[in-house]
Amino acid sequence: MKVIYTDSLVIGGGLAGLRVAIAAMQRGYDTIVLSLIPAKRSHSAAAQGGMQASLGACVKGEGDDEDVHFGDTVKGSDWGCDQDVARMFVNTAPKAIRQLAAWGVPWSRVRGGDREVIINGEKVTITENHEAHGLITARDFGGTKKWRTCFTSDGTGHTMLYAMDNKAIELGTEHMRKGKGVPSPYGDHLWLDITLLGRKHIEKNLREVKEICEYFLGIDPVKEYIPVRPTQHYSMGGVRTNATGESPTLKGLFSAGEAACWDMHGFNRLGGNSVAETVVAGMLVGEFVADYCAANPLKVSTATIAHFLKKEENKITDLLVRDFGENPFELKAQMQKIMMDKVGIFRNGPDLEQAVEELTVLNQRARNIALRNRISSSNPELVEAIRVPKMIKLAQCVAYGALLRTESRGAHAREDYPERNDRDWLRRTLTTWKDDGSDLPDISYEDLDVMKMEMPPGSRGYGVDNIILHPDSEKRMAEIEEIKKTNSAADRLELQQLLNPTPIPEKFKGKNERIGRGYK
Amino acid sequence: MSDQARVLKFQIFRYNPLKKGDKPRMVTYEVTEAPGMTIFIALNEIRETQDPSLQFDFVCRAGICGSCAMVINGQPDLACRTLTANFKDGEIKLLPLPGFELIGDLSVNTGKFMRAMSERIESWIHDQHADDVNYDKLEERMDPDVAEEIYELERCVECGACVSACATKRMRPDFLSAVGFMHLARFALDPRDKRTDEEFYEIMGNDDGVFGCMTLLGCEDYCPKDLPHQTQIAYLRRKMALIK
Repeated sequence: MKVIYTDSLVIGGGLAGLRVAIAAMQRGYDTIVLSLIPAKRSHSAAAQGGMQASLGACVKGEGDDEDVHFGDTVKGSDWGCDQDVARMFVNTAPKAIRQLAAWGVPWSRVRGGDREVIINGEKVTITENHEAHGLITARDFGGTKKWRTCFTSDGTGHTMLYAMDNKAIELGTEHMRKGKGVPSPYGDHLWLDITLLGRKHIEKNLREVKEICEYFLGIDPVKEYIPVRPTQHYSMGGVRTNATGESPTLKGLFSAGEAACWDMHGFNRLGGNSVAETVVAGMLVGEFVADYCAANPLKVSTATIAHFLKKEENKITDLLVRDFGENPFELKAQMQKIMMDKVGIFRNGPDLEQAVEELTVLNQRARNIALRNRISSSNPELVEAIRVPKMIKLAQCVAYGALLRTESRGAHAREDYPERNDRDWLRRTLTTWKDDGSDLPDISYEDLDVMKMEMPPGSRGYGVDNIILHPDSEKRMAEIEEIKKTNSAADRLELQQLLNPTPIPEKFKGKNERIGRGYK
Repeated sequence: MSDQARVLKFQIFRYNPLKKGDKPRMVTYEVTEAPGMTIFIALNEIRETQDPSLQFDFVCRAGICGSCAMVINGQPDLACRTLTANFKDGEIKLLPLPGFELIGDLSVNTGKFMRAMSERIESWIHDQHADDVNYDKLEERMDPDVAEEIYELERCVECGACVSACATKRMRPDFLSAVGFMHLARFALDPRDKRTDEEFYEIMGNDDGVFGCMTLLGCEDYCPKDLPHQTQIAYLRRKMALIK
């Protein structure tokens, strides 16, 4: 057995992983990034939309700051996010954008003067301030009070990932319902009309979308409607961590980015906050990882390593010697169909119940996978055989959690329970697997404490308000009013500290400067 | 949809260097065409229903990750955005990208090549004061046009099509190739990168660099992102020729 030692091991070379690696390396710790693919090919590259940060330089972003971004994030999450985390996040995001600018991201910039934009389907002229010319600009991405999404033409994720990976290379490591759909062979679809945006805008700012339309569909989106279908796009949940990114159940395990339930997204993630999370969580959690490295010498028994190595080896050997059994590709296709048909956008009890039952059967069948191509290296079928049972278990967590949650909140829309029920459901679903052989995950809940919230649950201000209130909401609201009254001389930053004293690493504590406003 | 779906004939290069006794060969697979089918969809179907050992690389299946370049009927291109409908006779021959280490079948190690290229050209912003920047403060301003010009050159996805289409690379194993030149042009344009022309000359001012290019411009012809290779190579060459 050959053991490779390192101070920090980062699994996954997307934006979050790379940023954590950079933080650890900058603090002088040996770091290995383990990635299935070259880091620059990570799926972060496909995030075209942009990254939210309250720089407030463009005219439609005027008046933006950490507080407005915080409010949008909490409302977006339908009060499911961890408000300490959301606070750390919004305060650090402007610094993250500026750091990436120094590392080479060619963020689109403010151009002083008039320009034509489309707002709510209408062409209007807006005038950018000449004082802001050349600063990083932002666009609208939905669900926010201000235009806050920083971007690079049509390739934000790509430019961020390249800058991040280049920085990592510089530092010298990285090893490597069913509605009104139109039927089609790939399922029902809707029509998306972007023709109103005009050729110039589409060709420059939506070029990747245009390329997809041309190459994949053979249509010109400047003139024609685009057929679109809903699909699973993002996971709000993940490995549960505390605010420092560390797992509460496994010491020394940290998680950041889409893999984590750090929990700044709660029940629905705002557009532009996912990419922002990767980088900002990478910065913050990266510091906590380095702190951990500093405080904890590596002490690991080789017997423990041998035990787990043997266990994984046995799993692979079992797969390679089994003569008859299930086909992993078929199991995956069945799992996908169940999730699409029964655990989709609009959900209901009977469908979810069926989904849970059917997935449980798939889980059982997945214990008996056999390969047609029985070699141990460079074998895509073996990869599938290792991954699919885990995917099925994750699908079970989603479906079972959704079945038990008898309310609608954020992206979880129950047709049979349309109200948001703060009284009974202002809590996070936690799923755990007792052992490999369990049929279903164990489910437990983690309550959110309204009395500690900087922003107690209220109306989101969009969509339909249908809320069963939490008994503490009014109490906390009154308490906040009282704090505000007794500290009437405090500015917004001091007040925020009183309402939610969040532990931000020293490095990132500074106030953020904005054009026309200074550090206020 | 036409009355009768076509049956496509794929001829695919097969060889697993890690399998004892395996020999390179072409194998034919038949796939019933579906509307909007890409080579990515067809290859997955072959792997799932006919031969689970077939190796090929994909990540994003939307033309942005650069993983899936291969030689399609003699020409390098991204498989994920190549529609099967483009091939009138329904015959599609797939070979791995030449110029890279073969992993197996259609999978090649572009990652290793690109990593070495990045280290060689030091593909990052060189500014000794970069880490002293106070990120609380307003960022350094940049002209919006300059930001756009940099982005235009940064659209490269490192797919390797230019390397495989390059005759100079075939003759000179250490030739930097168009992907390297495009990155260099990008950093040379960027006011944040403080490297001087003399420093860039040290990286590319020789026959394995920009002076080795025979200007056959396979890079320009086969770049799936339509990057301006011809213009940038000419620009770099002139810039470098003026140095000494």
